[in-house]
Amino acid sequence: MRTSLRQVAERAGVSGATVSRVLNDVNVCITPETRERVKSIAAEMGYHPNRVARALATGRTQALALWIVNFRSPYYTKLMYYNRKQAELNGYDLMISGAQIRNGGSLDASKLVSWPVDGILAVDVPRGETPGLADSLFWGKPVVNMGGYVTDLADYVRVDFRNRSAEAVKHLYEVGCRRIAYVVPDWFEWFNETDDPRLRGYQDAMGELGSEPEYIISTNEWRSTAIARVSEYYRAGNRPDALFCYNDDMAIGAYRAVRDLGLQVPHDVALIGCDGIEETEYLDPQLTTLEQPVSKMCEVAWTFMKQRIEDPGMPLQRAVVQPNLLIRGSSER
Amino acid sequence: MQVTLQQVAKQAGVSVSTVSRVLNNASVRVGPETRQRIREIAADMGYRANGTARALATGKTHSVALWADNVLSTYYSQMICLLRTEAENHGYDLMIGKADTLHDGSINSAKLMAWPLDGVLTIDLPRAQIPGLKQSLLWGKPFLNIGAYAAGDADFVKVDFTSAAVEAVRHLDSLGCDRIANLLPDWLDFFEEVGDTRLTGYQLAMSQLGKKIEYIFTENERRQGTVAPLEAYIRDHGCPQGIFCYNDDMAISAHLLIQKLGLRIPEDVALIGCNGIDDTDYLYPQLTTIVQPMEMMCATAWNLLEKRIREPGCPLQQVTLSARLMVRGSTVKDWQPT
Repeated sequence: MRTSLRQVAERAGVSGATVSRVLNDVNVCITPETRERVKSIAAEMGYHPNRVARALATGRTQALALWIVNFRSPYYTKLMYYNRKQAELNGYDLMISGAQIRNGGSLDASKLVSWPVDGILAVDVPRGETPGLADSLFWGKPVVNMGGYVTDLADYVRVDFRNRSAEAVKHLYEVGCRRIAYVVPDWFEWFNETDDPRLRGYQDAMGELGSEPEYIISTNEWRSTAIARVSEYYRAGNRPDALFCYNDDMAIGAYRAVRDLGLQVPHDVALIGCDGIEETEYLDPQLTTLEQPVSKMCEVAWTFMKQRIEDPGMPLQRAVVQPNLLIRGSSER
Repeated sequence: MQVTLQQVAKQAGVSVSTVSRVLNNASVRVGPETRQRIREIAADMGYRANGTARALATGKTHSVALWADNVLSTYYSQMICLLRTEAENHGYDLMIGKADTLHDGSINSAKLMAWPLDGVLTIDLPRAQIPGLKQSLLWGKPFLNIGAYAAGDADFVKVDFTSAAVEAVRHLDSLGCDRIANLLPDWLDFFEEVGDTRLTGYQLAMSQLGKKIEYIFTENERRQGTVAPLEAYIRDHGCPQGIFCYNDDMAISAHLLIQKLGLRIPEDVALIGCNGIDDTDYLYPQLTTIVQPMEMMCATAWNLLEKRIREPGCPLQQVTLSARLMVRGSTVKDWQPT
């Protein structure tokens, strides 16, 4: 049987309000002795506050939802890890929520807003094609979105790949690559329409270098499909001497494909990925990549979130961070 | 302003309980037309259930906590990914965290009980060394642990590596490896105390083969903690011809280091990992490893936990699944994927 606040108050010979204030560390005139006594009686009786009741009363749950659409990639694991660290640091619980997508591809926001979280941290929202996000904003749930893709309907922390992508392509040119292809998932039109920074960075550099863009378009952003597609592309007689890849997973897939064809990395084909997952350090040679400052991104996103929860009406908070170009063996000739 | 059930009922001209039943898909005699009409009205009015109030009324939140110690490792992330899929399929939310522990290392059960979770799942709980587990069991929260290490006094889905580890060592022996070492974190006391099945299998096979046990200890179970100790060991003792690693992360580190030292895999050194993470596919040569049945572990775990939530008093549910050896290029020369 659950111990109630009233039972603790009765035993301690004080009012329920006093118990509540002591246990919530509210700063009112209660002597240290009484505080101590109430605390030890509550502990003895096994009292713990009912957080559901508290949430109903205060409208706050000290829990946030983290939306991640694709869990499989180690990049998202890294994001989860640093968000969890922030949750611990800030005294929140973190609910890992698949954004519930309905058949039509829209977000099942009713599920989300019915569940008591104080806010939503959304990762790569537009990429996750969640048209329902605007609805949830309409319902007034604080949202901070983060990643390579963000919506400006809510606070955001965005990684801007454009400049560094261009730098990466120029680096490939400088080490002697003359046919630099971009390995990209099959959302090319969407990337094109939305000025995808990686795509534009690639195109910027190719334009400056006077080279013709060349695309290897894969089914999705995973390793297995990248292997198949890159392998097909080379077997059809195409011979790019460098591959700039949309993410590390695709670069790792491309690495496999290239090596399976008997080509050497970086000598025959130089490789660059994006994101900076741990595994890039354990390929031989190590993979050059555009590393996202994930720890920093999460820190900023949580600052935004706490401010948004405190002041729902405040102006839009935005931050843009740059990835780091880590040059390693896969692009050093 | 939040639309209430009462407002929907008034608009539809039916009782509140009818609206509630229709929206919760409870079986009640309401004609299909009425059901449809109520749903449409609720949607039009922007009605949504108040999860907090529902949780207070039913005591159920349809959320489950998942405790894992090291979410950065690929094995844990694959497990979390699978468990999340299970949670979604069963209509649950998953809260991911570490067990909230107190100064003495025991579980902060006050925190646990205050938050309205329907149950707790943990991965490799004893490895996370939480002495407070028994106390949290006393509080009666539905609980299930999964992995290589499971607390025996609660529901579990455990993976047993013994036979696969024996097979791995025998496989190395059959390749002509003279010295067969076990590369493992320096927690031998703990492993022996809990009867780590990888260690048991290694010891068993070595004694059957009449071979001398050889341990190579690393700082921890991660990639980074493996390189320096292994390099020092090889420098001082030479490299064993066969190395059976505690997990794939350590094997991946060893793989890179061994080749860097100018040794060939598998001609000079045959290497075996454990867990079967995706990353083992992307090495040259691909890694021979012991594969955990992760999908089955997670699906089983979820079924058992749901049963425990439904029937808190049901008898202890304990399932043990076996891992299997997958032979690939890091032990067999010129091995080709089929």
